[in-house]
Amino acid sequence: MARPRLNRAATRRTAIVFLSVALGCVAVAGVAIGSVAIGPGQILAIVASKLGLSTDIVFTPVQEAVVVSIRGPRVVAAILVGAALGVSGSALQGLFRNPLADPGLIGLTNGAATGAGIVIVALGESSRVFSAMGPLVQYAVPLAAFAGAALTTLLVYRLSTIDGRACVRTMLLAGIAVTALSGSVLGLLSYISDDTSLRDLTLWMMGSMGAVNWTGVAIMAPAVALATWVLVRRAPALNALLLGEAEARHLGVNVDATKRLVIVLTALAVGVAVAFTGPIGFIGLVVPHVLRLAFGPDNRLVVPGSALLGAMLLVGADIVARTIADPAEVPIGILTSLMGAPLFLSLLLRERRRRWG
Amino acid sequence: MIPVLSAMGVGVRVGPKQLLDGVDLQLAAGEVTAIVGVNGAGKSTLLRVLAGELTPHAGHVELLGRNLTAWRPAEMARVRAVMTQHSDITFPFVVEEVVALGRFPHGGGESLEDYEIVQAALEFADAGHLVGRRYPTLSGGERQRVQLARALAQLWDTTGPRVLLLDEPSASLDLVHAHRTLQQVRRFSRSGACVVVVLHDLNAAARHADTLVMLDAGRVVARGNPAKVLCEDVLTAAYGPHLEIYQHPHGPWPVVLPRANELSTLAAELQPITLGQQPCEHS
Repeated sequence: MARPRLNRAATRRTAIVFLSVALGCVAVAGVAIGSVAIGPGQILAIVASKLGLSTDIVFTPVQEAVVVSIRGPRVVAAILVGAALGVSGSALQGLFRNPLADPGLIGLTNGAATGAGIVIVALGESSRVFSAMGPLVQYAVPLAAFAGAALTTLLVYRLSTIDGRACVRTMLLAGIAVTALSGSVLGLLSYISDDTSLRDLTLWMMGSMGAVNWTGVAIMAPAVALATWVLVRRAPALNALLLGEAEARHLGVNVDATKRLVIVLTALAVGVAVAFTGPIGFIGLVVPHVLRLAFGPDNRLVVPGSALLGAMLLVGADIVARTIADPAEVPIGILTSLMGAPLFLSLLLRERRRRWG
Repeated sequence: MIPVLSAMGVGVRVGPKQLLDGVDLQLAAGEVTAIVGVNGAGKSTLLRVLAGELTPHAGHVELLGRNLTAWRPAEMARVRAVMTQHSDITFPFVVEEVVALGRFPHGGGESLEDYEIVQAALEFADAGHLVGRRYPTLSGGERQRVQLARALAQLWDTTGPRVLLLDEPSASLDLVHAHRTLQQVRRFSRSGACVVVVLHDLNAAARHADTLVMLDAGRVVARGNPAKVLCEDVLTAAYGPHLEIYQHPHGPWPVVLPRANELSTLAAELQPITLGQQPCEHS
């Protein structure tokens, strides 16, 4: 006899609480670890002092500056980007009923990269013109990346939708085609760009958390929060969708609205996230997979869990990225792929052994 | 008789092909109606139209006197459940989780009541022993019984008229399980449900349905009780001169079998391979 479903709901809550606490610990570690050592108590004291509360714990102005203007925004940004990638991956996998779907698959990441690439090269070619525009330049790359993500998603969605119903197979094919197209645009861009912008483009393509400040966080936070909140609420509908689209409709799910929401919100979350950090691979693919292996495929756990575990992984990866070769910094996108790909392969191998003996 | 579900002049066209043409049906609560006919006669298309999955080009379908297009999906899901032939789930849900999805229109499947309904529906569909198994590891027949349980769970505590639409619910089942399943479906209909089931097995339809609807090339060519529909004229018109009708030796049901001389023609064709091995010696 299997456990009653009531216990399943409790298990889910316990898992969510556990993941939240773990994320909190990793986040504190993310602020504490670095070339300037800061104790967890000092971090709390600095945060408290910023909120107008005074404590007995002593901290130096340098420590305060590091927490407030360097590691603070960086850790918060890593949480947001990780959550965006995790929640988007799990929602897309639910929508496509395919555990291999992720933001990269439908051309979203590459679309964002192309948008950013165009601006980086254009800025490089005519930096004298742009330098006069001042702070506007700071937002040009993120904006272009978001526009690229939104345009690709719109294009792929339009291509694969007939009478308001999206055909998943066409969507995947369109995603592959769009990815190839934007890949060639990026190749062309690196061919025509000068040395400086080529370096900028290449570095951005590797992914980095280094460029994020509080302004970036303020732009990312509402988009990621909205996407996460709505997609978590749609988790039961995503469960029903796993039976098939027609079957989900018969269960009373508004399939087309769910599809639209997943497409638009993942484009928003991933587009904004990629805009500030560059493409970061494997989080959206691996995180939901790990949760499914641990707790089963129920999206009511997988979707919110992916946000939490994605955030945790990216904060962790960022700690490694900036300490492993201190004072230099390894691009985080390279690191996540470096850690994610073997992990994913080992998961596949384990599953294969379990299934085929 | 007040119809729970009715089709009015339903026509469906795909390109130049008329899949359904002027189909009129009135279906009452408490009855099992079987849609029968040759492959490609339009059986599944009709079921999809009745389910609201396919909007007909001509005519319309009414559920409880209201046009299907006027129902909100969530509202409809509380009085009408559908079991399609499609039963793949890629993700490793356990059996109870799949059946609990049937409780989605009633608020999720998490309450103690939902849990009891899931168990009861699984028992009813002869799938109680599958609890705890991962759905993708089940056989085709086991999956069908789980899917039936899911559809039943969706309507389990609905009071008043309700509609259960089944597309070949016994296609992958062995003879005994097929009959047990259809018997249970019939039992369910007696609790006040209007059940429509697409079947290609005429004998199963004759045995378990109250009414048969014979489709041929998208038109209703006969409808009524099994004895009325399964007669020489109707079968010859729909299936050609290949079938013979017998009387079940122990009951009132007609039994349809391929014509005897058809079998001998078939045997003649197979002769080079099977000749000489036919007699069964130890019987």
